[in-house]
Amino acid sequence: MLKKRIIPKLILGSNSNSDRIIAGTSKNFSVFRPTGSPESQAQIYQSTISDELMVLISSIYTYKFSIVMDTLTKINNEVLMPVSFGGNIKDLFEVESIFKTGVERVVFGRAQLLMPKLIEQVSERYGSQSVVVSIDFRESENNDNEVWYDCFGATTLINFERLIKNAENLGAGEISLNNKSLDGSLAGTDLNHLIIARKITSLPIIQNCGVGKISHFVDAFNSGADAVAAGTYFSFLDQNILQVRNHISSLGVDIRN
Amino acid sequence: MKIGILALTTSNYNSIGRALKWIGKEPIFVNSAKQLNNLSHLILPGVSKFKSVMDELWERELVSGLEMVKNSGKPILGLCAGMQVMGFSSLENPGISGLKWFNFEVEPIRTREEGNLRTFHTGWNEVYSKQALDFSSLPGIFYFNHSYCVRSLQKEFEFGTTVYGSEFISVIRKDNLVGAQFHPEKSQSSGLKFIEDFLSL
Repeated sequence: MLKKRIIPKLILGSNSNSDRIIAGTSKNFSVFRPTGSPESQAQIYQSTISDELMVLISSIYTYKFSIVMDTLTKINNEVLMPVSFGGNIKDLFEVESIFKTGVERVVFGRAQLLMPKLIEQVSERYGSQSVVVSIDFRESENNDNEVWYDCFGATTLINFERLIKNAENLGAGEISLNNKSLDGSLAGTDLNHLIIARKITSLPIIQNCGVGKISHFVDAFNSGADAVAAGTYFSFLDQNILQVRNHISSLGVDIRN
Repeated sequence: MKIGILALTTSNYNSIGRALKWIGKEPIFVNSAKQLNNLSHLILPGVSKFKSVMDELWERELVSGLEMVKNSGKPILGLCAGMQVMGFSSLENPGISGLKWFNFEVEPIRTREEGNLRTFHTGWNEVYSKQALDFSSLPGIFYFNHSYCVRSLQKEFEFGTTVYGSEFISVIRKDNLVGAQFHPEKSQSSGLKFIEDFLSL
């Protein structure tokens, strides 16, 4: 049977005004916390059986595209597993460069509203299995069906189901759910929206943001996630991914061991 | 050993090149039919659609060259969409002909009766070995990422199968031709073993 996936997440950013890219984690999508060089972080995940690696650009980092491509190439040189990459991808030329580095899937966020054509073109050309659409939202106070979403320079309430359906219609092959207020919190993932999303789409779902202990992985898998991604949990709690996998597997989740 | 990888623009030929370097091989990236001569092994990659792969093979005038490599008896490995185009046709792009080396039609991974199954088979899954006695990598667990698959083929060419809802054929083999629906280049040590098995043909 198809195994559930555990996906370590690397956020790329930099220290001060240096050009050198470092890997780290994020908090609330706004704070960047460095952990080390992207290559050495990638090596760690290669040597400890990760199912996939997700590489994202910190939203507060302004970067030169070519430098990011060099970093992606270096990361891909270190791993023999699927790598997905996201961060303000602008056009098909960038997409082509990204795939050339060895990246398996591109991740689009706000592009689903800002540049829907681009997502359609990528899924048409490379196939939907190469496209992940990330729903980066904050929950609203009293209605799970409406979420706060940053777009067009403002934060507005948008129907959650509409975001998922729109991603599906544009040709997404997988949905990544990111409740930004839980990002880096270690407080547990947003199961409410996972359960809603699971009811409205048959696409695989990556549950993102908020993992702080083993039971958070298990809860997400049991609530319908096909994959769970974690950054801060692996980087700052010094968790050994092999041990984590064994533990999760012993709790009855079907993962690769 | 001269291992060629067809450098299709919509494929991940670089990743396959990397995997070969991990096992100490220096592959040749094939860009023209001329470069298909004198290879010992050929890898036909594909991460895109059936039509994208076939269109590019025709546009770059590679089809007859591939036919020649096939007829010379040199081992050819098709990966993902690169395996799918070894068949007749695909329901993904009706009306487009494949290379017709195997007698199958590619179909969606999710059948009508399997409504609750995810549309995409993305992740790690088991490959059961049918008759793969000379492939030490099988059975094994490999990384898949696709929404179309091969379900029916003459039994003698079924080399490995995988269960996703129902069973589909994840490895095919006919003489010097091998195809895998999964991505050995992304499958860590089990993937490297599979590539080594192919190179030992």
